[in-house]
Amino acid sequence: MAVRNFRFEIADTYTCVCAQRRCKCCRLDALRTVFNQQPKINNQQSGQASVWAMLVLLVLVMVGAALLDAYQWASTRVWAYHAAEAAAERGATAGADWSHFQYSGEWQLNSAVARSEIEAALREELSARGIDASHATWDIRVHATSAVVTEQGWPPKGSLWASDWTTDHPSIGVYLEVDTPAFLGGLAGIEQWARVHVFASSSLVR
Amino acid sequence: MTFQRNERGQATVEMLLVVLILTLVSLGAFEIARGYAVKQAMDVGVAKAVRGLSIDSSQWAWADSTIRNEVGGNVLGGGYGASLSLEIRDRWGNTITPAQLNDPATMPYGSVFWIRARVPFLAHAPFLNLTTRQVEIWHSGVIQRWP
Repeated sequence: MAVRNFRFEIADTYTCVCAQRRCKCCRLDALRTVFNQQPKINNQQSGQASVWAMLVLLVLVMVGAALLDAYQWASTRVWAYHAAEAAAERGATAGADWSHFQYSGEWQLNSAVARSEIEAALREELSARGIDASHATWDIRVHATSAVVTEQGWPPKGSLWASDWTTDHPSIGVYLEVDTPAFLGGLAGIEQWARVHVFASSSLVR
Repeated sequence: MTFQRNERGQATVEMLLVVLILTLVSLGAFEIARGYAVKQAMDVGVAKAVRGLSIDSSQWAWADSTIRNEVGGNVLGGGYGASLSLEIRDRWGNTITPAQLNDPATMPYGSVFWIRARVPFLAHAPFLNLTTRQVEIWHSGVIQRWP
């Protein structure tokens, strides 16, 4: 619409050979003459579709990468919770000091045995999942007796609300961090791995 | 012979191209989501089953139906519960039967066992001839029954 108005303005200012302004007889000729004399406006649109296609493809690739990351992260998180829980259970079961229980009627944990079993469990779970041990770190706390113990600020990121971990039974806490591939971060060149943080605990009670 | 340079319908063609790509990406995302949903449901089901069997190793029927119900009831459906295959292994990777799992002589207190769940999964992507993949989940448990 703007271009048309522009053309009419040019035509309006043109004076025809018949000395009449905007005469019907020679208007087309006049327009042709004027346009032939005007410098051409470069309104090139070729390649526009390619630019749009590139932009749309880029956005779609980013959306696809974000979706993959979200699926992968959620899946790894669910698995990691179960792996940490299984490790804590195995540690509590293997570390239960039966001789002390039979002697005193109170439960106690053998820290070394429990810790060794938890580490073995974590390594086995990681291996079964196909995750290299270099992409996981863990922090294991074993409270061997029923004494009340509070771990200040631990686990660091195991729950939504940062809190302390308090136990009043022989207990095991397993804090596990696992790296999961981040396609979007890799594409953007920021970070190729996203980290999942989970915590699980297990206690011996009568 | 003259060629007419006409741009009418250009937007429609562009729109068709974008819609085509968008449809392919959306279908692909849905198929990947379906695969992850099955895997996640299997993860939850196997973890529940392992925990239950740790406490009472005689409950294999319950464990089996728990895993199948979880997988069959995953958010994106697909009826994968029926095609699920389950396996019990001991700590060293040997396959054991539910009866052996419940036998205190074979699996005493503190014995580690594994449950492996497997389901064939085929992603349906247009113009791609994909093969069936096995979605697999392993979880370990420990026998806590004291005879």
